[in-house]
Amino acid sequence: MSRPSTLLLLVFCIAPAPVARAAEPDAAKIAFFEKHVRPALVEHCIECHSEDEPESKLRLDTLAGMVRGGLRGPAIIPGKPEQSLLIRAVRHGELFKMPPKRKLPQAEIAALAKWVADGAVWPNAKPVDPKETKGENSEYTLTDEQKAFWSFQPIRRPELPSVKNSDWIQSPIDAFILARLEKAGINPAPRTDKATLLRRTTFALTGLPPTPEQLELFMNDKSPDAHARMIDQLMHSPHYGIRWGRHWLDVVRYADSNGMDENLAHANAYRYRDYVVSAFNQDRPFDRFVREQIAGDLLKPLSGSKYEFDHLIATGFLSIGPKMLAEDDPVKMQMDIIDEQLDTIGRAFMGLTIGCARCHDHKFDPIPTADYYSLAGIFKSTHTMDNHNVVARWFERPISDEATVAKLAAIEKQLEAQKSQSTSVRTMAFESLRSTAIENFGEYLLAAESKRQKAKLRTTAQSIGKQYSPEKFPGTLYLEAEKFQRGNPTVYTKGYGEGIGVILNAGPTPNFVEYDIEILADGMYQFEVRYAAAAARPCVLSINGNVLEKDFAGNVTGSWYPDKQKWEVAGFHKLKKGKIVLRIEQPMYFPHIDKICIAPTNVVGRVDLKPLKSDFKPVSEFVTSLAIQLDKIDTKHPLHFWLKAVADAKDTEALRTLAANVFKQPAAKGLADFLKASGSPFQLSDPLEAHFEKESVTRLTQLREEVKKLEASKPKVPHAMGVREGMAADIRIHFRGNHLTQGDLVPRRVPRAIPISNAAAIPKGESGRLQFAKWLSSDKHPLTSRVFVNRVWRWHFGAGLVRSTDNFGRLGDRPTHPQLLDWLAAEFVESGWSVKHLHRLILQSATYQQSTVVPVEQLDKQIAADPENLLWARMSRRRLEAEAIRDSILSVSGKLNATMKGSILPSKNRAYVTSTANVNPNVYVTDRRSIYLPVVRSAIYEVLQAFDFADPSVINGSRQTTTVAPQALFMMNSAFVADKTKAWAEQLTAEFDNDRDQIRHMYRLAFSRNPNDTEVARAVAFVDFYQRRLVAGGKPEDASSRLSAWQALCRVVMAANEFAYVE
Amino acid sequence: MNPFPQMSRREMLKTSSASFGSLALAGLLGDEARADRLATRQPHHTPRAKQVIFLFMHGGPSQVDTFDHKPLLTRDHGKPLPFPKPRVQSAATKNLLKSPWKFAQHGQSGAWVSELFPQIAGCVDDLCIINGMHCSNSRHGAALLELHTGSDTFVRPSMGSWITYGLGTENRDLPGFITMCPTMTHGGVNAYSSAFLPADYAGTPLGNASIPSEQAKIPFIENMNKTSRDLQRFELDLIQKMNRERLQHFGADDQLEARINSFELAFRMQSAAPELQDISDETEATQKAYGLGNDKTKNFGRQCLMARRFIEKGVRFVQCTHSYKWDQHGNLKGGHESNAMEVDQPIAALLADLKERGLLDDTIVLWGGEFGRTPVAQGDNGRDHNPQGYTMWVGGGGFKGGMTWGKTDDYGYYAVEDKVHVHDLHATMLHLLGLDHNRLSYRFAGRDFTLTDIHGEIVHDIIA
Repeated sequence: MSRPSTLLLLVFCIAPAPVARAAEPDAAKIAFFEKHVRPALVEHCIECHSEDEPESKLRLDTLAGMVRGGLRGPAIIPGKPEQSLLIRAVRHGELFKMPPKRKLPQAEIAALAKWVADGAVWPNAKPVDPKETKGENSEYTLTDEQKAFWSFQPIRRPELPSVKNSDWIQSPIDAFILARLEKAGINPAPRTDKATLLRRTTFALTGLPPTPEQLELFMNDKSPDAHARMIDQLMHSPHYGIRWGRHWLDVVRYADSNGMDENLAHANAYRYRDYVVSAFNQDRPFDRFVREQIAGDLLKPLSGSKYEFDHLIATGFLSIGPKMLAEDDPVKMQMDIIDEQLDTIGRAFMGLTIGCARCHDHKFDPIPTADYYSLAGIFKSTHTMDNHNVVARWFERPISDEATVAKLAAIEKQLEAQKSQSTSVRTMAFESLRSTAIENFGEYLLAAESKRQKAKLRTTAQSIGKQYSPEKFPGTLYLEAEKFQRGNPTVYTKGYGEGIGVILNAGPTPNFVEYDIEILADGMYQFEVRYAAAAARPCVLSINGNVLEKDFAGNVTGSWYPDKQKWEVAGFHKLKKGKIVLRIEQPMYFPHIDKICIAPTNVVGRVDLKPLKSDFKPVSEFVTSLAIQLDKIDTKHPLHFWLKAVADAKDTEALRTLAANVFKQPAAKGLADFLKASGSPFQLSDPLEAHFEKESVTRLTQLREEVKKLEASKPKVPHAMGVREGMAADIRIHFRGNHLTQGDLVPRRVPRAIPISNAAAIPKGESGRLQFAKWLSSDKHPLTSRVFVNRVWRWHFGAGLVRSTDNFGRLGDRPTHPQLLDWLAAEFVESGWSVKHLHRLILQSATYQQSTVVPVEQLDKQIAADPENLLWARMSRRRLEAEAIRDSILSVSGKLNATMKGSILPSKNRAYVTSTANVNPNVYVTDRRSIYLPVVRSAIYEVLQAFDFADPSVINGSRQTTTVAPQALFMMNSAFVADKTKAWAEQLTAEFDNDRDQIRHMYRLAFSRNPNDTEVARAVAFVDFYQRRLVAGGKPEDASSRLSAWQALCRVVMAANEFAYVE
Repeated sequence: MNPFPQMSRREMLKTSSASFGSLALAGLLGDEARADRLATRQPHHTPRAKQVIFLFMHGGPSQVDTFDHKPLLTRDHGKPLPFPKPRVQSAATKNLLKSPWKFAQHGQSGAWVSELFPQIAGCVDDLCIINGMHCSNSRHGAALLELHTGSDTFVRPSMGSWITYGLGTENRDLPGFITMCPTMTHGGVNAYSSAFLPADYAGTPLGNASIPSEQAKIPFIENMNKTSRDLQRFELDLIQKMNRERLQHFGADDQLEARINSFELAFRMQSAAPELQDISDETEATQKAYGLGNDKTKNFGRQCLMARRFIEKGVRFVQCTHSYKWDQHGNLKGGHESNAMEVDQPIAALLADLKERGLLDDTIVLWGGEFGRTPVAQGDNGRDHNPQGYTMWVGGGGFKGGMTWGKTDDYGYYAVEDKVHVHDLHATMLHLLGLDHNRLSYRFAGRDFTLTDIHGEIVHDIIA
């Protein structure tokens, strides 16, 4: 982690701390140091932190070293162990952990902390002034080497070099290329043939093969400007924007889902994609295109209603990156998102790896950490995320006319107001419930205690039903469940009821049964039920309409069958002599109930804690909550006195008396406060609406109705991902990228390595994005135009003039033709940043129109002089990209659906697109151009993935080409190729009745050329033979087997190298 | 089949009206490796292991309920943690929660294993149990990616990709890096993608976590045209004839030749892979040992058996995923019991099988999740994520058997002694495979990337 020491002058001030004194002669402290501190330092620390090249520039072998500190600032602040990094590190705190592998024994850590707390006495040390402390700083100068670095030099249009073979020149580009070739003594390759040139140009500009009609027209057009006109025609096609928009989408890591950890659908990302396609089709000046993507929301819209929202949608660029949306540290999440933005901006537009400066000054390029945080300040002042929760939510803006957006905003504001009203009604009603409960706390104590005791009894009481006989248990009611007087369940005596007879559901719900029974004497009764259940189906038990139990027969016994029938004590209730109606009810289905038993019991005592006021109706949720709390309290709990009282009480009356005077008890001091505070049993997350007074309920219903109406009245406004201005503020440097150790505040500003004289200062209250965007797209910016013309060159030739398209820094490659690069950049800027102008220049050049083939007599020379074709003495043969292969198959087979725009991603916005399972493959079943296939991060469509689609998580201006077996398997076996070749074969056989013509047409479609006679004869023989083999294998000798044979030929043609490569 | 007699490249260049691609030239200049990215490569130093099986327990198994025995946790059950919890936590937790399972010492080494893994407990003398693991992130996605790729922040190549990049593959009829039933959540493909490394090194997925392992297949391996093998060969012959004509017309070109070869490889793979996945040639005893007859164990059992079959055939890196099941924020007792039951027997069978066939010496077996779990309770019967300290184990491939390395604190929350970060684990595994983690690098966008970035120290003490 060392930095070029010439780069910076390090001066850094920390908060004032007392000057560390040399040891006052204090023998005890010195002895402590020698006994406990020095040995620990020697044993564990100084191997890495002493004289020679100390780690992190921190020395721990002197007091000065400790107080002045290293790269992370001072290691100790005498007297303040908690603030001392040394102590935090040896405690293995979160920030960093020292020693890294093995935590020190607790005793040594304590000794070090004590030593710092006692003033860090170090024998014979001189006083140290912490003001001399070193750290990161913001002073900054460029070295001479950096000043001279090529890509930071202003762009000057060079003179065209003079060449000998001036006849070869067709475009100014050629002069630069030829001059170098002549110097190396190499001749350029001959011009390629016309058909190949058309195929090359058509793929280059539209990503599709030329149609046979285009081929015929072009071959017959003998005029000198035939190619130039073809170029214009192709650039006029909407397919041009699709092709070049897709190139740009590689650079901006476009995707329809977030990927990373929480793979949520970017259901509105496609608006940005459509914007990119249309910007290329309109030849939007590239400098404007840059400004729109960085700060479109701060620009005036282009005139013309078609483009009304382009500038807003364009800022989607900043938001479509992959984000860790589930990060427990929200500050880290925000800084990571900003880092991703900076990294993409840096490399996409400038070829600069700005991200490297997050933790340390850039090791190779002139970007100090201070500049990174200046830029980070701009983007921290920008609103990208609505929140940084787990799972975080990105910002989206409504895209509509001002009136509609205003209307939407107004409704949303009203909704907010309604919601806050609802909340306050609920809060107040709940508060009133709660204060009533506190006033009647004695009642609640009695009710909760009753509940606890009953629960206890339920688990301890012996089942009577299990051992019932009329003799043993007189006065007991022992009912067969199926003998009900009224009810709707079915009686079963087979299967579930084999041998016993049960009641269960057979359709109508809610289930209920009623029994008319007679109680013979007043008293306490034990209620029991025998039932079987594989899932919990709690029932309501009531007598004469009074609910007694809400979870009657509510447990799981193991299955629905008789072998899992079990007796269960359900509760204890006082009953009066006389006739009663016993009712059991379940909102859906009954468990399989066999018997019910109601037995007199002499279980008395605390179960029967009568309320103080006989008509008191407690809120059952409060009772439950209080009972739960009573079950768990320890001796320090303010309610502990009650448990003690329950244990000591002689009878229930004693408890009732205590409850009636609960607040007067000396032991209950502070109880009222406790019940109001958090931790109170009456503090529930459920607002208990069911218990509200009528007035509140009416009001809430009314508010809900209003919300519903408002929601319905919302105008349907499309939304787009993007950014807006946030709270403008500078931020501090983060040491090593960690937000827990911060240094100097740095102003928001553009990187100082590229001063552009008229770059505006950032006004207070603005993020600075606009100023940054203007600086970035300035005619004078040395990188933006160079980087882009080089990208275009790469996309046309397969390699850039600077091979490392995304890195123009010191670690990147140097341009092979620096003058040509500058000429192109200057020409590009002067043309008004017209991308189409750039295409014309390149495609009309002799350089571009060379053959891929080098004449045999020049081969040895070229191998010797230019083995890697750095001088462009021929065109490179190239495999089609994933999209072009798929689109060609669609186009050739006549299936291509040319619909533009819109999204076919079926997911709702922000919904998960993957789980442990992959994306539903049906989302990729479409015949539209590949750019419209959903790009689901971390689950890319396997066809695109197989053919080197750019990973949509990082910028990629130069896709690789690999040749791997899955590609061949795709061509041989996939359903996609099977479908399309079938369609193609059907179409061909319908159109032609002559095999030879059909084969010629196939070649023109697939290879943009006519086949020779041998090829035609061979293809006919293949089809004949193939059909014979099918017939021999049992297929009928008819049109269907003929069609299968043609389909096989279609597969062969599409699998051939000639289909997948462009010469 | 080949219509052209074999010619040397130079001859071909000379005799045809030739051109060449830069790769052809690389070939001419003797750098064949550039043209064939999957060719076997010389490691940096003498390797101890050649292959890897990674048994990934997605969700995060609890260390204090499996391999990290903590008597004090039992003693102090219900008390507060006597030291601070980490600043960043994924959920609110309560007091210490003892393990519902009993621990006992096993094997000659006397390693502690809980009763959750009765069969793996029988293998401890072949395992090195690392109790001081730690990683950087408390969320599944980030921690999962860090374990698989070394980065919890950015998309980077998977360790299987790095290893295949470093060593090439030994069986050209099969992919070099296979991942069975990978999860598509928490990073999905990023866990086995080659990111900026060439696609040759990407993991080939067989199915995904929602597909039973017996139905998991290589993409496009099944012929959707329903063409017979003979007829497909006939089609292929014409394709190759056309390709070779073209090649003769233009002259040698490695790209075009590589594509010709890729079709032949695909054709061979088409029979090799299904043959390998047809396990009817395994004895009944073997199938039973892996638990294939039992509904509870058959899914992971088949993955383990396939792992052994792939390793036998020379596949470089095989990953088995026991999908997102170990995340017991609640229902610790039921959840961990059921999960352990699903993997215990298959893993023990795999270890025994590898050993018996002499494959264990050359194969690193790595077991673990993306992080561990807290010794403090979440709810009443659950544990939260814990990246601060947890257990993974390794076996075979040059690791010391019968060893327990590293320690967490008295309760199993933080790693405190001989800590091993995920980066250190990566560095050590690469080292045993003969690769120097600082030198196994790839230049992308102007920067040299490695699996361990600027981190990683080899843990020499656990190497035999």
